[in-house]
Amino acid sequence: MSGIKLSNIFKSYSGIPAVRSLSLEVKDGEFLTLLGPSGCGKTTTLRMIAGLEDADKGEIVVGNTVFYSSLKGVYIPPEKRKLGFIFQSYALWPHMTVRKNIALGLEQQGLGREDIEKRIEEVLVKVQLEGLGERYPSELSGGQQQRVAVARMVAMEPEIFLMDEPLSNLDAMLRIDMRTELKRLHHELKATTVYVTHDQNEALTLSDRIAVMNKGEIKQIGSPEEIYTKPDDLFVARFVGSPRINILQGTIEKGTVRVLKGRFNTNTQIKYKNDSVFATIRPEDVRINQRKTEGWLEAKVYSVLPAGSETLVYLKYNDSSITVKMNGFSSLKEDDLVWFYPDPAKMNFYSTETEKLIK
Amino acid sequence: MNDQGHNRLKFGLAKLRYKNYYILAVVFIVIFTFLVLVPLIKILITSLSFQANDERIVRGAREGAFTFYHYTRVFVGRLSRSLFYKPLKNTIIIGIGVTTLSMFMGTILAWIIVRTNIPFKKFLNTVIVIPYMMPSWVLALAWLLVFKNNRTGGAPGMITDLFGIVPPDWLSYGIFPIIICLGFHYYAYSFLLVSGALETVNSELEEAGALSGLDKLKVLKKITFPLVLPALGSSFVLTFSRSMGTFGTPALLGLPVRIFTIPTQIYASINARNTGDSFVLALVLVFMAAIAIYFNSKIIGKRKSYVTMGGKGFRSKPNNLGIWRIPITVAVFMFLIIIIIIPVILLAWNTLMLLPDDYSLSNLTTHFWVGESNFKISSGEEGIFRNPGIWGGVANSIKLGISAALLNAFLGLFVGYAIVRSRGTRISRSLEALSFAPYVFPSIAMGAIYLGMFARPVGPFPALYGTFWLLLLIVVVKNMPFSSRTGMSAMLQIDKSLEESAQIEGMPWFKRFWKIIFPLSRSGFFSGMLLTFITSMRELSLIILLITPSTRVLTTIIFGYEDQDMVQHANGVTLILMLIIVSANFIMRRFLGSKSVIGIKES
Ligand SMILES: Nc1ncnc2c1ncn2[C@@H]1O[C@H](COP(=O)(O)OP(=O)(O)O)[C@@H](O)[C@H]1O
Ligand SMILES: [Mg+2]
Repeated sequence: MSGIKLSNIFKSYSGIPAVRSLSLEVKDGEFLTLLGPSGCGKTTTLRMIAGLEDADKGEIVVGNTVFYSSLKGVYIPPEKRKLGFIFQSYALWPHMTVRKNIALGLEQQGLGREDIEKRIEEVLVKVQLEGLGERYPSELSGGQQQRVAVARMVAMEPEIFLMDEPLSNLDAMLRIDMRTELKRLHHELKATTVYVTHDQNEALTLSDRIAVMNKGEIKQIGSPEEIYTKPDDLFVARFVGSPRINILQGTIEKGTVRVLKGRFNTNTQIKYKNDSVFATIRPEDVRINQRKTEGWLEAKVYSVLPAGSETLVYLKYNDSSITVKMNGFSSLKEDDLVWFYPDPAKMNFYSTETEKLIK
Repeated sequence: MNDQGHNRLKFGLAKLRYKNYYILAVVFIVIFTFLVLVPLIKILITSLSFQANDERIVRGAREGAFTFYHYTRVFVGRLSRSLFYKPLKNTIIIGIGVTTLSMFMGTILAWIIVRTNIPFKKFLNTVIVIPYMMPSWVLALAWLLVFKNNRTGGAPGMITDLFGIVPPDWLSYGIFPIIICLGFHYYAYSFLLVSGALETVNSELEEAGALSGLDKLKVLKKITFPLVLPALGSSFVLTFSRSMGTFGTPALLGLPVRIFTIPTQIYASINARNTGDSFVLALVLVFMAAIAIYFNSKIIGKRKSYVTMGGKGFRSKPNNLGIWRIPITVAVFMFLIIIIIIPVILLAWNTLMLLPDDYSLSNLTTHFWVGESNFKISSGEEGIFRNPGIWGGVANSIKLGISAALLNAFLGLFVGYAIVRSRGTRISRSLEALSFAPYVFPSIAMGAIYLGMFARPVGPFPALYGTFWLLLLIVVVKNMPFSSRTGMSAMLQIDKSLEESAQIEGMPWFKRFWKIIFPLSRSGFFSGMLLTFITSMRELSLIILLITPSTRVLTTIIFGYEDQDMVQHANGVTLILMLIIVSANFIMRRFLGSKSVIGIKES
C-alpha cells in the first residue's frame, strides 16, 4: 500500500540549506504532521514529496515505487505521482466554477461524464457544499474555498494527501471547526496524510504522529503525547505547548537536582557530568495555594490572565518567573502572596550544553 | 562514460523533460540570439569592411576587406560635418527640445487630471492618450497644411493663402516645427508614466505635509515631486530615446530644406547606396540609446521602492482648484482640440480641396476620394476608394498588424512563462536581457540592421528582402520587449500553485498551459495584442528601409504621396489609417470590457 519513506534528503536554495539530512517514514494510513516555526523547511519537504521541488540528494519512496532517487537516477514528475495536495492558498482556479475545478482532474483521469458528475456530487456533499457547484471561487467565503480545495483533492481519490497549512488562512473559530472535519475525513478515507503546520495546537489535535522540525532538521518524531510530555530537547519543549513550558535553572547537589536557586529539592536522582541542568515543567503541573503550605514556595503574583475555562497566573519568585495554569476563574489579584509547588514527578531534565533530554 | 556519469545524465534529462520552461527558454535564447545579437554583430562587421559600392569610389578597395574607411568618413573625413556632426547636433537639439516640451505638458496634465477636482476626469483620461495611438507624424502633416511657405514648391499653407503672409523658413520647416510636432505627440509618455506614479501617491502623505505647516507649493515641491521623480526620470529617458530615433516627422519637416537628423541621414545614406555610412550611424544611435537606457535603469533601480505604495488606508483626495477650475478645464479642452480635432479637420478638409490653395466652396471636390483617374490632377492618381494601390496597402497593413499582434501576444506569453518559471537561473536572466535588447535599437537603426542582415539568404532563411515576412519579422522582434514584459507581468500575477495543482492532478504541460495559464493571462494577452496591432499599424521608421513596391503598407504609401507632393492623397490615407486604429481600439475595448477575469491574484 502507500507508506512514504524519505531517506537522507538534502535541499538547498542558492547554497543556503533548507532541508538537511532528513529521514522520515510515514506509515500507511497514518496522519503525520510536520510541525515547526516558519522557514524551517516544512513546505519544502512537502513539495519534494509531491515532486514540485527536486531534492539535491536523497531518496523518496511511496508504496513500492521510487519517486525520486539521486543515487539511482530515478525521477517521476509530479503529474505522474498521483498524489493529492492542498496548497496554503488553496490554488483554486479562479476562472472555473467549483464544479469545473473538481472536474478538470477527473477528466484528465479519463473518467466518463456520468461518473464525473456522480463523483462531484458525492464530494460536494461530503464537504457540505451541496448546491454551490456553479459558483466561482471568488464568490465563496474563505472556509468554503477551503472545502472546495479539499473536495478537489478527495475527488481524485489519491492514496496520499499532502496538505500545506490548509487552515492558516481561516479565522480562529472556523479553524477549529475545520479541524473536526479534517479529522473525520481522515478517519473515513484512511489516506496516508502528511500535514504541515506551524500551529502546535493543530498538530496535537490532528496527528497520529508529529515530526517537529527546526532549521531543516527533524528534532523529534513521536505521538502527540510523547511530544508533549517527553520532549527530546528544549527546542521541542518550548515550541510545543501553550502557554510556554517553565524552564528552571537547576543544580545537582549530592546527586539530586535542586531548582530555584537551590531552594526547591526535586528529590530526583541524576547522574550527569556537569553540576547544572535545566528542569522543565508545564504550567498545568505547577500547583498553587493561597495558604502557607509546608514544603511549598512562597511567591508574589505578577499578573493574572483569566481566559474562561482556565486562568494563567504569572508568579515572581526571586528573579525567576513561573507560569501556572489553573482551572476556571481565580480570585487571585496582582501582588497577592501565594504558595506554589512544581510537581517533580512531571519534570524533565535537560543538559545545559546540548539542551537534550537527560531524564 | 562510466556508469555513474551515465546515470547522472539520464537523471538530468529525465528531470529536464518535465521542466519545459528550461527547454522553452533555451529555444528562445537561440532564436533571439539569431535575430538580435547576430544582426548587430553582422552590421558591426559590415561597417568595418568595404562594400561593393565602395569599389568604384575608393582605389584598391575590395568588397569585404577590412577597413576603417566608413568610420573615418563619418567621424573625421571631409564630409563628416554634413554626414555626422550636423545631424548629431540637430538630433540632440530636437531630443532636448521635444523632451522638455513633452515632459512639461505631460506632467502638468497628469497632475491636473489625477490630483485635482477637474470635471470629466474619465473622459479626459481616455482622450488625452489618443495621440499616443496615432502615427507621430500626423501633426507634421497638419503643420505643413498651415505653415508651409513657398520655398520648396508645391502649394503653400493656409497662412500664406488666407493672410498673404509668407511664414519664415524656421516656422515652416526644420527644428522648431519638428520640436513642436513631436512634443505634442510624445507628451503622452510622460502623461502615462507620471499619472501612474501620482495615482499611487497617498494623499495622506500630502496632508501630513500640509498639517506640518507647508503651503501648497511647498507640498508639491517637497513631497509630491520627489515621489514622482522616478517616473519623471523614466519619461525623460523614454522620450529622449524615442525622439532621437524617429524618422517620420524629421523627414517631413526637415528633408525639404535639407536639415538632417541621424535617422534621416541614415535614410539618405542608404538611398545613396552608402550602406557602410548608414551602418556606422545606426551603431551610433544604438550606442546613444544604450546609454539612455543604462541611466534609466540606474534611476529606476535606485528609486523603485518609492513607487509601490498604496495598500492599507489608501486615499486620494483631489486638490481643489477653486476659481481656477473653469479656466483650467477650458484650457485642457482647448489643448485637446488643437492637437486632436483641428489636425483631423485640417486633413479632412484638405482632401476635399481640388486646388490645395483655394479655400472657396466651389473648389470643394470628392475627386481625391472617389474620382477616376484624371491626368490633369495628381498625375492621374485615382481617388482613394477606387485606388488598388491604397487598398493593397490597407490589406498589407492590417495583415501585418494582425499577424504581428497574434505572434507577439503568444510569443510574449511563452517567453514570459519561460522567464518567470526559470527565475533565479542564468538562463532566465539571459532570456530576459535578450528579449529586452531590441528596445535598445532605435527603429530606423534596426531597419538598417535587418536590411544588412536579410538582403541575402542567411542560414535557413532565404533572402527575405522584399517579402512580407521580413516586415513581420522585424515588427515582431521590435515589439518583443513589450510583449515579453506583458507576458512576464501576466505570469507573475498567476500564483505558481495554480499551475502546480493542475500538475499534481496529472495534467501534462500543454494542457496546463491551455486550460489554466492562458485563460488567466487573457486580459494581458488581449491588451498586448491591441498594443502591438496599433504600433505596427502606425510604424514607419522601422520599416521604411525595408519596403518594396509589393509590400507597401499605409504608412509608407502616405510617405510616398507626401514625397511626390500629392498632399490630398497623403492626408486622405492618413485619415483612413487613423480610422482603422481608432476602430481597432474601440472593438478591442468592447471585447475586453465585457468579460474580465475575476480574482486572478491570490491573496
Ligand atoms: N523557492 C525558494 N527560493 C529560495 N529560498 C527558498 C525557496 N523556498 C523556500 N526557501 C527557503 O527555504 C527555507 C525553508 O522554507 P519553507 O520550506 O517554505 O519553510 P516553512 O514552510 O517551514 O515555513 C526558508 O529559509 C526559505 O527562505
Ligand atoms: Mg510553509
